[in-house]
Formats: sequence, structure tokens, C-alpha cells
Amino acid sequence: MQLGALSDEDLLVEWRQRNGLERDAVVNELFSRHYERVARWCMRLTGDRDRAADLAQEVFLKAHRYLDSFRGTSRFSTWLYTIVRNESMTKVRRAGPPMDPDDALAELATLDPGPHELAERELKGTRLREFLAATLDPLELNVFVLHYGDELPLDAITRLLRLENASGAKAYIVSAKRKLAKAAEDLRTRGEAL
Amino acid sequence: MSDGNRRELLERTIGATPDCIPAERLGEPPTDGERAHLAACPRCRTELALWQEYEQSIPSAEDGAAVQWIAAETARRLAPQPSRGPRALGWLRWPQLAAGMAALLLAAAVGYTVWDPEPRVQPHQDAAAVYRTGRVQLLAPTGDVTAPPRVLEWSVFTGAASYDVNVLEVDRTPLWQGSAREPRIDLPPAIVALFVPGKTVTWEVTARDAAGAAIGESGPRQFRVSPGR
Repeated sequence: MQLGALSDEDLLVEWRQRNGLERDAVVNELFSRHYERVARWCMRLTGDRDRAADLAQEVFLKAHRYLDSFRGTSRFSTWLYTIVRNESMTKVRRAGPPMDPDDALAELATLDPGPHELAERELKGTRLREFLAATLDPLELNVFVLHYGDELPLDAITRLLRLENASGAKAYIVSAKRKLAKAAEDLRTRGEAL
Repeated sequence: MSDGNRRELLERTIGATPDCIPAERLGEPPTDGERAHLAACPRCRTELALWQEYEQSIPSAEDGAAVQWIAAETARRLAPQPSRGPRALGWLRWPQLAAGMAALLLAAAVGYTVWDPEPRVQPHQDAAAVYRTGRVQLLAPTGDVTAPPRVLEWSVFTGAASYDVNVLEVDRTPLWQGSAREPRIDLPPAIVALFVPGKTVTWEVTARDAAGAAIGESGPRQFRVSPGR
């Protein structure tokens, strides 16, 4: 049987049915289809060839260890991506605090209901998310979420999203903060609340 | 703003919600509901952008050579050896190393026996206090469930004074840990919110005696909120 002619999902069926060297050959074929994509992601995230190779190795070792738990409810590439994403975010997460954390969140905090309005919290959360999504352009939003939410360093975000401007992700954070401040001020001027 | 307040505000504005699109669905065409959700959800828009970067991007000229090297290096490190697992585990098969390890273990065992001979048989030990490590039986949730579970339940394990509970991603990235004295535990809402439709979650329980020693383990069990709810 030509393994190269099988889809990822069909290879997994073969993998479950085979033993020994044949099983190794199937998993080798399956993983080799994804080496380059994972390598590219790891290089972008780490910015260093050797660290990227270590990260890619960990990703595939983890995938190999848990291959049996893949239930076929999604594409194999998506399943592998969840491992790539989780493993790499954990490894690259920044050690220090984010850029001006209080400054960036101050405007959002003024729109937040506060701990005494528990009943409205979920609704306010939805409105805050909508406010953020409507105020920032797509790239600013992605940089904001990755930096403050996933705690990625700015240089990793710059490489990951292939930002080609001179100051990379930092410029998008500065711009996002300015827009959030202005949008919050406009809301207050109109006497509106989230 | 304190760290706790900052974290809570971030969770509420850019954290995952029960309506968020599970990672397993990112490669599929969005439904109408998912499209509407995407328009207003910073988290899902970012996750989709990342997925697209992963799936579709072409390497730039400057990182092309490095990517080729990393891919080749990964292939080299993981290449299966004849009747071996991945190369990262291949040292276990090297005859010289295996022989060396065996000699080392033998020397250590002989040394240990001389240094610390077999202990005397104790005169009496209360049989009720002796437990073998056994299986904790998980009751619910398992398999496909119709709604995000708020409680995890398992059978009473004889001799257990407490239970440690781990909730994990399918790749065993930890999501939450808890401890209970009863064979059930309530999950915090922030964790329940992570159980989005289509997402497979693993959980496991370790039974501990009064001294904190592990006396039983469940092994991993998975559940998933049905995507079609």
C-alpha cells in the first residue's frame, strides 16, 4: 500500500491496525507531512533555530504519546495544531510583566461594572468584548489579545503575525491603547455606559 | 490595579467563553452562529488568525532556510530506528549503554543490600490500614454530554481521606486542579466556561489516605460537550 496516497485520517486508521516497523513507517509518513508547518511556526515564535528545533521535537513527541487519544472528531492537522499552540505558548510566555499593563487596561476598567454588580457581570463581559472588537482593527485586536491575554512577548508576536513595520507589535499596542482611551472618553461624553 | 483584578478583567474581555469556537472547529467552515460570534469575540478572532497563520502562511525568503533546517532536524531526531521507538528514546536500545546501565544497577543493588539489609518483619500491622493502589471508578461525566458539566463524580474508594482531581486538555495541558473529601467536586464557573461544544476534556482522580499517600488512581477519562447542542 502506498502510504503517501492516504489522507492523514486514513493513515491513523492504518496506524491503529499495524505493529512494529510498519506502525513506525505510518507515523513517520503522517508526521513528515507536518514537519515544515510546525517548524515554521516554532521558528517564528522563538526566533532561534535551535530553540525552534527543540520545540518542534517536543511537539511531535507529545503528539506521538497521545496519538491514541485522537478520536477523529476533527482533522488531524487541527488536533496537531492544538498541541503546537499549547506547547509553544507555554514555552514562549514572557517572564516579565506586559507593556504598561495598568495603562492599557485603565480605560476598560472604567467601563467595567465592578465587583458589586455581579448579576450583570456576564452581560457586561459580553459588552466589553464587543467594545474591544468594535474599537480595534483586526491586527490591533490580535496583538492586544496575544500580549495581554496569552502573555506573549512583543518580539514573538511581531514574528508570528509577520508585522513588517519598524517597531512591530509595540506600535499596535500603542495604537490600541490610544483608540481604547478615545472610545471610552466618547462613551462618557455621551453619557453612555456599557 | 491589582494582579487579581487585572487578570479577572482580562478574563472577562479576552478570555474564552462557553460560546467560543473550539480549536477543533477552527479548520472547518464557520456556521452562521459561529460567524456571528466571531464578529464580536476578540478571543475567537485572534485564535482564528493564529490558525490561519499556522495553516496557510508561506515562509519568507529569510526564514525559509532556517525552516528547512528545523524540519530536517526534527525528522532526524524523530526518525524511527529499526524496531525502536522515536530516536529520542533510542538510547534505551544501545547495547553498550544498556550493558553499562545494567552493571551500574547491579552494583547499586548489591551496595544497597549490604548497606541496608532486609528489614525485620514487624510484629503486627492493622490489616485495615494496609491498602494496595487500586482503581478509582469515575462515574460522570464520560463520553459525549449534552451540557457543560458543573460537577465531577466518582465512586467512594475504600480508605480514602481525600481525592485530588485533575482536569486537562487532551494533550494533558493542565486546566484545573482541585481537592475533595467527598467523591464529587463542584467545578468553578471559569472552568465550566472552558467546556465549549466539541472540545474534548480529560479528567482523572487520585485517592489519598489520611497521611496524603496515593492509594488509588482512576486513570484518564474523557468527555465532550456535544457540538450539536
